[in-house]
Amino acid sequence: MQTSQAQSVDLRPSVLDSPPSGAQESVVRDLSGNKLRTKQLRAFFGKAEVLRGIDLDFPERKVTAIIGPSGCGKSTFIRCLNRMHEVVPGATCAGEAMLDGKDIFRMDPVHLRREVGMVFQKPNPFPTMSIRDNVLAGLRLNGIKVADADALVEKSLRQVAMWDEVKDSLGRSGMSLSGGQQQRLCIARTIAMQPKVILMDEPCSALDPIATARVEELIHELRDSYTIVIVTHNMQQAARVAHFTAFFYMGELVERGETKEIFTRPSQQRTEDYITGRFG
Amino acid sequence: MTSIRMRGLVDHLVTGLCVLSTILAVVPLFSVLYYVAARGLGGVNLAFFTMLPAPVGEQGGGAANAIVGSLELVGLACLIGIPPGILAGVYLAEYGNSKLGQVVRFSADVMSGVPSITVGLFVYAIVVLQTGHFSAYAGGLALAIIMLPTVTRTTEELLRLVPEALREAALGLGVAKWRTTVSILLRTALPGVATGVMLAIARVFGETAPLLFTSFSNRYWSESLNEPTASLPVQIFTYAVSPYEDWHRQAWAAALLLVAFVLVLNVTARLLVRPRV
Amino acid sequence: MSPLHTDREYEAELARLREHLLLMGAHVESQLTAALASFATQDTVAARSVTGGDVEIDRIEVLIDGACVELLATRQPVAKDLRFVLTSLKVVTDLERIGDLAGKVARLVAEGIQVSDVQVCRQTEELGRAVTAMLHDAIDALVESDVLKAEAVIQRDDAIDAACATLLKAIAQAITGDPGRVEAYLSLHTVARSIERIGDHSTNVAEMVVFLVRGQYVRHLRHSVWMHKAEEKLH
Repeated sequence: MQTSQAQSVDLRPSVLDSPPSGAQESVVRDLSGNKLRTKQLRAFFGKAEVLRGIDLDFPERKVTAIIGPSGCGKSTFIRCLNRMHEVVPGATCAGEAMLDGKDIFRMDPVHLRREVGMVFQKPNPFPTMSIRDNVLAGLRLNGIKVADADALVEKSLRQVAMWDEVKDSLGRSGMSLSGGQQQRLCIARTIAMQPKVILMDEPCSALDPIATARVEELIHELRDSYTIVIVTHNMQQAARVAHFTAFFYMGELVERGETKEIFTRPSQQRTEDYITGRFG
Repeated sequence: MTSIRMRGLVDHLVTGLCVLSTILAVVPLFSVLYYVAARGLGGVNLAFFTMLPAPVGEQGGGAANAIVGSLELVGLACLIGIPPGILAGVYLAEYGNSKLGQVVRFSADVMSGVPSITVGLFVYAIVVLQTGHFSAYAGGLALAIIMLPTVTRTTEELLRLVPEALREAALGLGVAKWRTTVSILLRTALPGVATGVMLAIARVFGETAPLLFTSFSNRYWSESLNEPTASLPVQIFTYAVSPYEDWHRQAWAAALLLVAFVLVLNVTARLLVRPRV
Repeated sequence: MSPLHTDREYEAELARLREHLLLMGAHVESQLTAALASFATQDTVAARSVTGGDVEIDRIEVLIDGACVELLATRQPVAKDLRFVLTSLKVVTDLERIGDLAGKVARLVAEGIQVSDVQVCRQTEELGRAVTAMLHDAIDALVESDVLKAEAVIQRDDAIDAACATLLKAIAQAITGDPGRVEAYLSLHTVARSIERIGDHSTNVAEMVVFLVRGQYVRHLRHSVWMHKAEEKLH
């Protein structure tokens, strides 16, 4: 069921200033059209193996959703992709993960995380910073010079469809926004770094249906510019936003394919049992 | 009578007991405040704030040097004690799950219970005896040592209270750990840390015992920090046990000033952490 | 065998839908059998009683449609469950049409079809029997989710169509030989056409069974596929 993409040209969104430092273009270009791929990726908490040999490709500028029941390892997996899994004491990863052909485990994790951004379940804008400062936070805290800060703030906020709502109150605290707006602000903060890949760990779990719909709409708009990986426990959401869907169960990748195939005729019985709600 | 009525009665009885106990607990506080105010107000005048103590036996004079001295001592204590305290707190919060962290934490907890007079003796031994004289430096050091555990633990607790989500957000943006700690976490915890610092200051402002061996006292202005320095608590001690009525009056005034200062510090500290909308 | 739905209510709703579907199939089958039996015996009384059976079929159709809409709205079914609901919606239409056609045959029989050409009548009866068997097998395939049985039904459709074409030609022949009874032969013509259409609808049911089990739409692929196979056989 794995379908490979035709070779695609790297059309990054227009860069207002120099790209984040440290992100040298790889000499070994992955020609399969996959921005990110893992090979036999495993993850451990101490001795306990929570991810067993995952082989998964993430085609460029497509949205891949990861679904599965609680405890199946999907959040652990996504955290391996930006090496935040290792931050927990005693947690380790094994296997390979290649971003544009470069092994992420050989990269400086700090540099990696500038290229692979993450949006979390609970919106977490920095409470002591204004909306404007929040958008620029990633760049400022990394000491990256921004040529035209105002333009970047406007561009990022426009991309998350928030510019018109907040353009007159950029100095307000980030916490003064509603939940859905806060989450979009966090997304703006992430894309201001111009990452290659955006990881989203259940980004809509804490939002009401309308805010959720707006974030999903945002994902639709972003998917032409970024490679997106979204973990969700809401299958309908995966069905709505993703080109490809991967089903995880008990630390294993059970099936991965085009979303419409997975939801109309999955090839694995376990997948069908899960998506139709037949888990005993 | 029915069990519901019984329960109602018991409820009222217990509520009444609680109210009574609260009043009992608060009575000493208010009596102290009242007494100090009543006895001390009489002695508070311009001379009190501006003049040096009069020669023994004479009327008049003030506690200007004691006030300035206290400010100097506490100021020194802050300079010496707060930076290490905050840094230690940061260490404990962010990296403190190691053996060293456990040792540091335990030490801080023990130190906050050490009698202040012991601290005074310790500084006496290592500073006063070495230099051969009392000084404000020694006094400041003693106060700093007393402040240190409080500041450390408060900083640590408050940093731990900062939601993990913020750490993750910063980490996810590729921000290095130290930068995260300084720019995000401390900034977020700042109001609370400031409160902790203020409460620590309020505490050491009134410490008397350690100052007895370190900064001692001075009838006159201290020319430099390397000299014995007068301070309000020691002044109160000296005057209170003296036979002079005038000095007693001044002691009450100094006590009032001390209490007022501590009160102001506490209230400000509470206002700082009032939840903001 | 896959486990049951975690939500028992959902499982029960699907089971009810299934029951209704099978009930409708049974009704339609008995309608058809009765109509064709009345044709064979030219029993106008029996024929008239058949026409009343439509009401029940329509009632069940409405029930099924409503249940499907509700399931789609409230459960957002996916994969097998989704295919089952879609199958139900489509099959119901075909079954209802079969019921109508059976009723039409019964009505014509009730009005009386006095035809002298015995040969033609016998051919019609044979056609009727073949199509009844098709419907029966299609419904069986649906009940058992049996893809092989369904494919067998699909394969018979072409033969039925061919037999019907022959029959219609024969009826046309018979008219020229017996012009006085042209109306009766026209009725017979309609009966034959109706039977052929019943065959087509039965085939539709079988095709939906393939969709239900395999997730493949074979509806309009048929002719090209079988044409291919027929061509292969020729060469």
